[in-house]
Amino acid sequence: MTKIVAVTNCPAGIAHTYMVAEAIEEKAKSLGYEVHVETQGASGVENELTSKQIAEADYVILAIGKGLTDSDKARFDQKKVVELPVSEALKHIDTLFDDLEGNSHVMTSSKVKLGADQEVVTEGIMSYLMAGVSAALPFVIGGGLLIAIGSLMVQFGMPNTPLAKGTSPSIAWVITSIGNLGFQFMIPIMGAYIAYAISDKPAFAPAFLVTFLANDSDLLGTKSGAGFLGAIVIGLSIGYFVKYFKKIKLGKNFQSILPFMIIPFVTLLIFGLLTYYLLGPAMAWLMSVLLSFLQNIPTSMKIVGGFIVGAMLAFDMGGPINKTAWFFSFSLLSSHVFNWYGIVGVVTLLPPMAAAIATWIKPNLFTKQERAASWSAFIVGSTVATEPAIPYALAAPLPMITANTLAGGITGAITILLNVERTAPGIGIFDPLLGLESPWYWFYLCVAIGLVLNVSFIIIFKGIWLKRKEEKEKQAA
Amino acid sequence: MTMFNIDHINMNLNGNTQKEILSSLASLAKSQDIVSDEDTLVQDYLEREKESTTGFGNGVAIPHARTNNVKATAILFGRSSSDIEWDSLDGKPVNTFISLLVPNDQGDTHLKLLAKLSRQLVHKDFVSILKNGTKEEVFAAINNVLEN
Repeated sequence: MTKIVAVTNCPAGIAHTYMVAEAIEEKAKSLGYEVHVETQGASGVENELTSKQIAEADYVILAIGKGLTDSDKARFDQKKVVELPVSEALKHIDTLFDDLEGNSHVMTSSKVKLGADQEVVTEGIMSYLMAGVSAALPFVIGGGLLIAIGSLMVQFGMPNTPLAKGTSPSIAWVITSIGNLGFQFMIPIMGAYIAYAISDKPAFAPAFLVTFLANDSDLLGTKSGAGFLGAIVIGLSIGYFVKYFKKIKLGKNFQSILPFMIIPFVTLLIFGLLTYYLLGPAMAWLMSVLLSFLQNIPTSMKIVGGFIVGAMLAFDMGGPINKTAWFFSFSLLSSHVFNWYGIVGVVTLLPPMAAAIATWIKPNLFTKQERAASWSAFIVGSTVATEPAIPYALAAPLPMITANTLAGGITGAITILLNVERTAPGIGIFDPLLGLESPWYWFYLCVAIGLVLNVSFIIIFKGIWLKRKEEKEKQAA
Repeated sequence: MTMFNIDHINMNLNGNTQKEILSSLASLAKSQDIVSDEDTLVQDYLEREKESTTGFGNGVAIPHARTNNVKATAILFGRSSSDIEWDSLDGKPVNTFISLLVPNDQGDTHLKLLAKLSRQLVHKDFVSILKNGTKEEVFAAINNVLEN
């Protein structure tokens, strides 16, 4: 007997997913086939296909309206697959079954095969991180451009009056504040979507809230949030935690409330407390150790110090390591030492600008979405914030962080050697024009050297990394 | 409030174009306090249609929306006196409409009911009642799906 499995989904998840599922079931049964249809609708995945059903199936029908995740596709590796848009499926349902063999192609997802109960292997992690990247990019683009506009307005003399009793805030402040929300929520959205990619809706809320907590220094009582590395750690841990949690059998009465009540509640409680009582203090401890380390660098070892501060600034872009180096440099301003803050002025420009330039030079190393975001990353990165570099780092943590850190370190050393001084925060690449960073010629030389290094490192490291990844997948396939 | 009651049916929807019909459905939704804003619903309908037609053939369309403009999950039913061009899968015009409206944060129970209803739409005898039945017959047929 011919055996068929199918997956249906659609944008809203309320109508076509089920109409098409029913149509496929009816048609297949009328032909005497064995059929199982998984629906991915608004209420989540139902009738999830087992690996046994998939293994035994002669054909896989994918009637898809909102795409499949990579791990979802990996289930059908090497199967004969018929793909069609869900919106068209009802039209083609009859002719489809006339020639399943002719309409199908063998799925090569180039991902490692997922056997019976074999867990997702390392390749899967990248697809989870990419889910975080594509969710976070619009936040950083929208928010970043608003902040850039707000900062420019202030630099051109418009008032920057915050909200306070008795005064109404200025438009520049309002725009910047709205933009800041983009940066603030980018991190929890990353954590949430990483977890969501691993174990679907039940993981979303706890991962969002816990990452928010971990990134909120006020709530945690630390001097810095956990940044995007925190989002990776939390997103992955909660994702896998929930994945196993979902398998618990609670009996008929409680099973139905497991995904939307018990799992979010228990996960939030456990990981929330862990973050508050372990991650928070651990970060505070790390920062104080790093800070006293920086403060104890002998003045004779300026170049080494410059390297370390530059490397730390570029390492986690807004995370605890970056914040410690920034804090160290910024606090020296009050003692009229301006050259360490000069490093901040130079190095924090590099990662986003370099990532953007790298997408222009070697577009094939980046996804379409990363390329599309490059202009915004360049403009925002060169003026107000390092954050636009974060999605690029998340998409390929090892090569991107290595490239940024190494380039940041070398540039930091050169910057302090040339004694570039910065007196106050401004608008990035234009600081010398505002008299905030001097001498201007050394500043621009340092930025230029930094960019050349950073872009080259990205292209080399990410190139090697992608090649290795490809080879690994080939071997595994 | 129930998902579907007899007042959710309009056997004589005003309009000669897709947009006019969707506006009539939206005003029906507004009059039943199903959505907060009528025009937003029309926009949501239109956007969904832009993605791909909801006319699945046989003269029936299922314009639907899942947004927070919707206050509570509801089903609307309507027929038009004239045939409406809907860019349907089979290319034929449409005169029977069943509209599903869902808030973004809808819980499982209601979604499962809508799923059941959607599944019925591929069955010829059910569709035939929608197309040719009286108001009472349509009401009974849809309720029958929701309650069993």
